[in-house]
Amino acid sequence: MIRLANLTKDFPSPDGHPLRVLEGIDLLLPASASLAIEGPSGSGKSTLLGILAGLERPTEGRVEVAGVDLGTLTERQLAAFRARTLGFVFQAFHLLQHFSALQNVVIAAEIAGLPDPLPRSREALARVGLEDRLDHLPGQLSGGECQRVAIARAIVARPPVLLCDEPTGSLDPANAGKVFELILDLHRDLGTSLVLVTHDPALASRMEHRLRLERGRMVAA
Amino acid sequence: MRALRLAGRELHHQRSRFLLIALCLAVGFAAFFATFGFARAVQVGIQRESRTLLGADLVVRHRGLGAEDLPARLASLKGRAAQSLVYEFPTMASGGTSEAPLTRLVEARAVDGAYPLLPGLELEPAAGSPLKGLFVDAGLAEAWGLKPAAPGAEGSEVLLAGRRALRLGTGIVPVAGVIRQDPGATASPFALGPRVILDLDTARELGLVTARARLSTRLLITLAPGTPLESAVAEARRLAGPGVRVQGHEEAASNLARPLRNLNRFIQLLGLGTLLLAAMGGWAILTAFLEGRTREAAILRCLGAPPDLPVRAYGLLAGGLLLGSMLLGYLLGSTFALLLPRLLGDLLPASLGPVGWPPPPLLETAVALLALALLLLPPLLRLGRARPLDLLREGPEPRRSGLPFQSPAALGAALLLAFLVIRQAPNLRIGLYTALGFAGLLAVVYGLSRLVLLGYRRLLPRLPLALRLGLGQLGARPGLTALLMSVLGMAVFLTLATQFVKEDLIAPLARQRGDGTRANLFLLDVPPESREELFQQFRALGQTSWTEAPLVRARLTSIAGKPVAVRDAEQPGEEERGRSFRNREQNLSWRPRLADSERIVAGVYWPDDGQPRGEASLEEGFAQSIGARLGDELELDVAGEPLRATVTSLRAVRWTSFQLNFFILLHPSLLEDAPTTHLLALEVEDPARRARIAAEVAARHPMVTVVDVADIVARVGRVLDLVALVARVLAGLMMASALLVLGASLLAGRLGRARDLALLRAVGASDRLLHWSLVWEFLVLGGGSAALAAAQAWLAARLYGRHVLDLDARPDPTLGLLLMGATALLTLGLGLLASRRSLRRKPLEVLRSE
Repeated sequence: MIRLANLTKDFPSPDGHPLRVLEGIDLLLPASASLAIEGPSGSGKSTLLGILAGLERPTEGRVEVAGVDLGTLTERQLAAFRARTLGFVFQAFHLLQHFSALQNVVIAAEIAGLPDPLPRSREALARVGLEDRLDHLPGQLSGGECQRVAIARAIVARPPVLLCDEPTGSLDPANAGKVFELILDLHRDLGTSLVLVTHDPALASRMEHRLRLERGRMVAA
Repeated sequence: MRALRLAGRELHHQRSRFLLIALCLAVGFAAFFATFGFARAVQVGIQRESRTLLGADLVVRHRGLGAEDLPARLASLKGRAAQSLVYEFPTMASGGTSEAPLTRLVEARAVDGAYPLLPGLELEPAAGSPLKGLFVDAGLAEAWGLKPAAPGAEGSEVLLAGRRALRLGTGIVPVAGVIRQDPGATASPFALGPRVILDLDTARELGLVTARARLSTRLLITLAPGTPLESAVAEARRLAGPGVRVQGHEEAASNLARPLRNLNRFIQLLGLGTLLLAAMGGWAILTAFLEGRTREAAILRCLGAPPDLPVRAYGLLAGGLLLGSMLLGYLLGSTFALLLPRLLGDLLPASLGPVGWPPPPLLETAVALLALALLLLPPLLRLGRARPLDLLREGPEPRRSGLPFQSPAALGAALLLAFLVIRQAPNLRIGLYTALGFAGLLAVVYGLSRLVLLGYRRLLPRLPLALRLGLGQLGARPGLTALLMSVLGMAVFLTLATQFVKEDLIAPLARQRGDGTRANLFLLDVPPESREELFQQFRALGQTSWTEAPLVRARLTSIAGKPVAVRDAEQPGEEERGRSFRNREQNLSWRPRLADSERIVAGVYWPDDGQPRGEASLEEGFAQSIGARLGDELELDVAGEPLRATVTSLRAVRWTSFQLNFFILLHPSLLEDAPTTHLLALEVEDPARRARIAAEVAARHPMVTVVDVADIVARVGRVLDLVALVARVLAGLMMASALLVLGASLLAGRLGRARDLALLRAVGASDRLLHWSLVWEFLVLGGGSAALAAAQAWLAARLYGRHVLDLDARPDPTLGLLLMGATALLTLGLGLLASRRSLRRKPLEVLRSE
């Protein structure tokens, strides 16, 4: 479950006045539900995702993810929380270029403290259809394959929450479709909550809940 | 124009970063300019001051006496303005009282009335003309408290006790004054003892100028203005005839200042090391910088820029950075070169100190720049090949494609740098060895680090996560990492190798202070009739053991039937050493069997059976230098009598054993009737007893020369300490430059590191894990390269000690371990400092910026 209450986020701006990027966001997302966050560029979508991931702290308001009030956690606790509770998929994949596909996943599994990281990583990669690409470096994989590795990395610890920041934005339509279906399948199979930031109304429409942001304010939910 | 605008814009926006990179590069170049500037200035100084150093335009030399007619022979030399006959020889000087005796070996110069021919020699009080009396080195005067005696005073025990006279040869000579400056003497810091100058008549009265003394005759000649030196030297050679050596002032001064020249070469070698370091540093920094621009180049291509625009723009930036940092390095280095003489203290004659701003070594600089340009060409041209689609395909780090000319460019740069090394060496062979040595060092460090970076993936699953991440960072840019490791390794190697070799040189000398196996007091020119009396003196002073060798002086006249002069003429291009060895006065000795410190490497040593044999045994290096082989017949002139012997064996001699050894040993039967002196070696542990023996011998046997090795060790040690100090300062600069290169490379390639750290943080990595990954990365980088270089330095010093110094050298590994630890810690500290900003950046900010 994700609960946001009166969430506000300011950033310092060059002129000295704080720049408000999120204001008064309230949200309640049940466990295992899916949510699309939509809005034009600069509306605060990625900032909201960052706050959900514990990578940003809100200026005001309360954030509760999987029953944990993120405001009460120290940086160290936040890191542990991210490792075990959240899976993150980025638009630009962000794989470690010098590690193989398998090692990229293993590292995440070890950070999460999984007892048997190697078989779990193989399993996660098999689940995304990359069992025959384990030793390939990111540079040797296609864009779609890179994003699958990133998804395997995100789900290897079976996190209750999966955060995806425009995961199909860097892919061609065919690959984008496949990756999106994969994310939905995993969400259903693993019972994770899914938060998806997207510009694409078609993708957003496949989510159970939708939240639209404009200039940092929630205009529809 | 577009490229210039683009470069200018980038420079403006990242000026602080560029300034830092330029500063890092400048330190490396500064070390190079400092060493080269200094060495060049000293070389120019030697040439410029060569007349002053020699005290004449040309010199005619002859070993020993027998050249008294030289002035007459040279009298008809065209353009001769003046000449002076000078004898130089080591002799014992003593003073003080019998309760507090002062004794030491001095280098005496007995001069005729025409001396000095040129200004430069400063005496206090100024000597009249002609020079009369005894003048002593200022250092000796200060150490012994010597003061000038009243003019006209006669030498006496009273003056001796009052420290206003010295005992030399067979008498006591009042001190007339002090030598404040003697350019020729200070040019040679390895002289056996301090200089004393006395007039020739006094020297003859004291019995110092005799055939027995280890004496050399010099006829100094000045030429009338406008007389060409080369033709005068050629004519002097013709007039002087065989058996003498004629040199112009430049050649003679260069020989006179040989230790200084050698020191200079050593400094120049270090200078080349720093240049290599700077070049590699520049390569590493600018490669990191250019590789970090691939994304920008791809974006420019996306925007429709032609492929050569990023190449030109970033080429301009890289070139500007290089030239700017070189200029800055020149300013810094030249300032240091001006300060270096202070570090060297009195090692450097005041007249040779670099004057003014040293000119830049243009050829070396140009070659280094060309080599760097070649090395930077591949990463620069790769920018033109950046594929826009890669941006979409792989995110922030587009694939780097190999270039067909990458290896030839690297090879070309390596050849250019090798050319610099060879050009600087005294001869092609040493140059090739040095170049190969540098290449080997780099190849091993570079190759091993590449190997480790390739092989670590296999070990990955078994390593702790933090170490894996650290290695992953290093492995992300294996070429750059290996290059950085080579830079660090080179700095560590040069620091350690210098120290190790210095220790190798000094350690066996220091052990001469009586460790139960080696002699430390030598008596030269002992007449046969004095032996028994000396032995009684030794026993009376509690010395019961000594070794002895007979000595006969001779000249080589022919080798394998070919006269020495013909050989000299046939080999005009050969090394100076061979010609010098053939023409010098040879010390012949004999013994029935080999000493502990020598072994036969070819042929057979004669049996001890009392049978007469016409055989000779040569030291292998000497034989090689003079061009003699096993089976060759040597013809020698022993006091006017010809003597023939066939080379039947070659020996390897361990000279550092300080035992009595000789280049030429003849069968005892050959030298039975030759005029012989003796060489005695004693091992006296107690310095006070050693001084007492030296004083007694000097007092009773003034013609015997006593050499206390401990004294020489102290002098050599002092010189080596200074060399080591200079080497340490330079090594410190190199180390600093290597670390700055590391820092600058980290800054230049910060983007990739920041992204990886942000990503790891996003997937839940703790601060602790990230810090540990960085700790491992820098520890492996610094410690690994230092370990590789330290092992090589240790091995090189061991090989050098064994094969060049002929020592069973086992350099102390403690220093290597300390330096390894220090390098690892410094790298770690600097790496963490340079990564601090990457660590602090917010993950989302980094990830979203791409």
